[in-house]
Amino acid sequence: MEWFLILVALAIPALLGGLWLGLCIPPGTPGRRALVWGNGILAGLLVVPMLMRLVDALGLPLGFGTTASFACGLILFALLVRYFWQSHTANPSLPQALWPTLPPSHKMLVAFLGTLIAVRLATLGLELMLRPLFPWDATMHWATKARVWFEAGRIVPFVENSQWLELAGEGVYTDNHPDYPITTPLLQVWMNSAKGQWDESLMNLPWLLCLIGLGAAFFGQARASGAGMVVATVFCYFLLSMPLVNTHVALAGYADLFLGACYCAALMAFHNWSVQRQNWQAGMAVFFALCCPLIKNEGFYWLLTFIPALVVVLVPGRKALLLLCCLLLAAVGVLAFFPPDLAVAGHSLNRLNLHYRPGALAGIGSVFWVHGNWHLFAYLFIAALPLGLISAGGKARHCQGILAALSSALALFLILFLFTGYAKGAVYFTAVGRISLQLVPGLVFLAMLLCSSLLANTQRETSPKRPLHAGSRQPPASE
Amino acid sequence: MLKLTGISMLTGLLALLAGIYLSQEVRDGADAFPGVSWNAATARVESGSGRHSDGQLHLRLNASGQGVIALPISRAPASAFPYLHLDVTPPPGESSVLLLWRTAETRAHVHVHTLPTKAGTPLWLDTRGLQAWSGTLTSLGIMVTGQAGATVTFSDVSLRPASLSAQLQSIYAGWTSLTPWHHAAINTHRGLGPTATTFYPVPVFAAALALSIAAYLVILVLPWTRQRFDWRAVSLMFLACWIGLDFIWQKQLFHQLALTYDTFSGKDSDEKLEAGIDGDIVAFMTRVKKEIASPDAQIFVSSADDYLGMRGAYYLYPLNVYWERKGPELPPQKYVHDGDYIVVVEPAGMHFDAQTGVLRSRSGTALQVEPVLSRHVGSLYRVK
Repeated sequence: MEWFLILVALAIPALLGGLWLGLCIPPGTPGRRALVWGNGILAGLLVVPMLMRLVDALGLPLGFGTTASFACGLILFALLVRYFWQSHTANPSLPQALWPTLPPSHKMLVAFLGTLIAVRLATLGLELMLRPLFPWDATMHWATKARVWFEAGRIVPFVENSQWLELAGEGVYTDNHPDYPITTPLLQVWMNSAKGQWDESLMNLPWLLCLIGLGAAFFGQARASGAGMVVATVFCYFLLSMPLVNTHVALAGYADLFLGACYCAALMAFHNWSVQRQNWQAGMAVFFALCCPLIKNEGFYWLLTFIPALVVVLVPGRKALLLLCCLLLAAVGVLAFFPPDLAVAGHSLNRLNLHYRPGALAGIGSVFWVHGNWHLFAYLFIAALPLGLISAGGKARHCQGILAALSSALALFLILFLFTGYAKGAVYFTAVGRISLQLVPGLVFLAMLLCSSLLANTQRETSPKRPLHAGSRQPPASE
Repeated sequence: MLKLTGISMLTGLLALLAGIYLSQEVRDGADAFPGVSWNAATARVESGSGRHSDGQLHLRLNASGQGVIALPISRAPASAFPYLHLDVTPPPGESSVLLLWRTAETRAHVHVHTLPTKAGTPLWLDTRGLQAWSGTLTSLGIMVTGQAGATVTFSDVSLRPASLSAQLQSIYAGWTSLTPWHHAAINTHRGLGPTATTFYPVPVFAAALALSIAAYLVILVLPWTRQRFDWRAVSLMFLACWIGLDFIWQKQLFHQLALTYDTFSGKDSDEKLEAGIDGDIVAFMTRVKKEIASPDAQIFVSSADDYLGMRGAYYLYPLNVYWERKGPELPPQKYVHDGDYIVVVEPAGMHFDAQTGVLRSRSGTALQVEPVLSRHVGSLYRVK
C-alpha cells in the first residue's frame, strides 16, 4: 500500500501536466509524446506545490488527500475536455512513424544511447531510494521547512533568527534561510504525506522524476526544433549523463536541478516559439519562465534574461540593438542609484560588495574545463558556438532569442562570481558548480541547435545520403 | 568514414600516450633505481602477528587494534619511486591504513600518510602528490589500526620507478578508484580519486579528441586520401570520447551504489540515519527529543562546529529549534527564558559549572540551568 501511494504521488504530477499539455500540443508535432510527458512532468512538479499553497490558503490541512483531490479534479477535467474535444473534432491524419525509416546504424546508436540512459537512471534511482538525506544545504534550509510543515499539516511561517528571538518563537520557526522559495520543501511534504510518515529517502523521488522530465522535454523540444532522431538522442544522452546533474539526483535535496530544468524548459519553448510562433510553445515558455523565481531566488534573474531575448525576437534589427543598449544603460543607471541596503530576490548591493575579483577566474575555468562536472561539454560549446553560427549564416538569426537570453544569463553568472562576494564560491568550488547547473541544460540545448545546423549544412554540401538529422521537419513525423 | 574515424582515433590515442610518456619527471640519477617489491618473506611484522600463505601476508592486529609491518629498504632517493602499489584487504569495520617513512634529511621524524584503501581495490598512489616524499628514504612501513584481533591481508606492496606502464596504471586507478560521497560532491565533481594522480580525466580526453581530429585532418591532406572532410567523423570522435569518460563515471556510480547498498539496504528511515555518517548525533538527538516535555518548547542549539550544529538542529525538527550559523553560540540572555532548552553539541565553547549550575558561553551569556542529559556527543540543559 505504501509503495502504491508513493507511485500515485509520482504519477499525479505527471498526469496533471501531461494530460493538460496533451490538449494543447497538436497531433503531428515531431517528438510530441516526449514533449507532452517531459514538459508535463516538469509542469506537474511545479503545479502540485501551487495546489498545496492553495489548500493551505483555504485553511484545509496539508494532507495528501486534500491536495490529491484538487489534482485529481484537474486531471478528470482534462480527461473530460479531451473526451468531448476529440469526439467533436476530426482526428487529423497522423504522419508516418519515424523509427522504421531510420537506417540500421542509426537505430543501433539510438538504442545504445537509450540503454546507457536507462542504466544511468536506474543507478541514480537506486542510490536515491537507499540513501537518507545527505547534502549540507538540504538539511540547513530545505528539508527543515518540509519537516515542520509535514508534522504541522500546514505552512507555518519561517522567519529570520532575530525575528524569531523577538517573538520568542511564538507561532513561528526559523532556519538558516527562511526567505527561500518553498516549492522544493513542499514537494518533500507531498511525498511524505503520501507515505504517511517522514521518510528521508523516498521524499527525494521528485528529483529523479525531474531528471526524467528534463530528458524527455529536451528530446521532444529538440525534435520539435527540427533536429533528427540521432542528434536529439545524442544530446539528450549528453545532458542526462553529466556528472554534476547526476550527483544532484543521487544526493537529492538541493533546488538547483529543479531550477535548471525549469529554466531550460522555458528557454526551449521560447526558442521554438520564436521560430515557429506556436501559441502552445509561448504558453509553456511563459509558464516555466514565471515559475523560475518560485524555485530559487536566482530564478528571478534568469526570468529577467527573457527581456533581451524578447527584444531581439520581436523588434527588428537595428531597433533591437538600440533598445538593448538603452536597457543596458538603464540597468547601469538603476545600479548606480539603487539603495545599497535594499534586497531584491535575496541580494542587496551592500552584501554583494561589487568590485573585480580576478582570483575567481581560475575557479570558473576549472569547473568547466578541468573538473569532471560536465564531461566534455564546455569544450563542445566553445567550438560549436562560432562554428554553428558561421555555418548557419543567415539562419543564425533563428537562434538570436535563445542566444540573447543565455548571453544575459552568462553575463549575470560572470558578474556574480567575478565582481561580488560570491567569488569565493568560485575560488573554493562551492556555489559556482551549482549555479552553473541552472544554466547548463539551456546551454546544451543551444549547442544542440548549433551542431544540428552544422551537420545539416554539411550534409547538404556533401552527399545525398540520409543525414544524421533524418526525420526532421520534412516530412513531419511523430514517435 | 567509419574506418577513417577509427584510424584517426587510434593515431590520436598513440600520440596521447607518447605525450604522457614524455611528460614523466625522472630526476637525475633516480632512474638508476629499479622497483622494490616486498612479499610475505621480506616484510617484517613489528606489531601484531603475521602469517604467510600463498605469497600473502596475513597481519593480525594486536590487543590495542594495531599492526605494523616494516618494509626494509636500502637508502634511495624518494623521487626514484613515484608510485606505490598496494593490494591490501582492510579489516571489516572502522580501520585505517597508514604509510610511514623516514628520510635521511628529517632523521627520526616519521612522516605519515593515510592511504585511501576503503574501497578494497588495489591502490596506485602517485607519491609525487605527497608533500614529504623527498630526500633519501631510510625506512618505510605500513601501520594498520582497527578492531583488536582483526586480520589484514597484504597481497602486494611495491614501490615502482617511473615507467609508462606504472604511469598509466596509476592514472587509471586515480580515475576509477572510489571516492565515497562527500559533502563537496554536490558542488563539483573533480573526476579524480583520492590517490593524488596528476592528470584530470576531462583535459586528457579533450587532448585525445584534439589529437584525433588533428590526425584526421592530416590523413585527409595525404595525396592518396580521396575522402572529404566530414563533420560526422568529428562528431563520432567526440561521442566516443564522451562515452569513454562516461564509462569511468558509471563505474564510480556502480561502486558507490554497492557501498550505499551495504550500508543502508533493508533499513527503515530512522535506521538509515543511525547507520549513516551522522549516526552518533542522530542517536543523541533522538534521546534529547524524548527528554523534552513540551512540543512548543524553544530549543537553542549551540556548537562551535558549523556542520554538527546544523545537523544537530535539523534532527530536532519539528521542534521549535534555534541555531545561528557563524553567530554566537547562544543569543543574548534576554531572549532565553525559563523552561527553554539548550542543546550543546561538542565541540562547543560552553562551560557548565556543576557547583553553581551556571552555563556560560564565550560571548558572555550566563544562564542558570539544570542538566538533563549528557553524552559524549553533547548535553541537554533546561533553563531555570
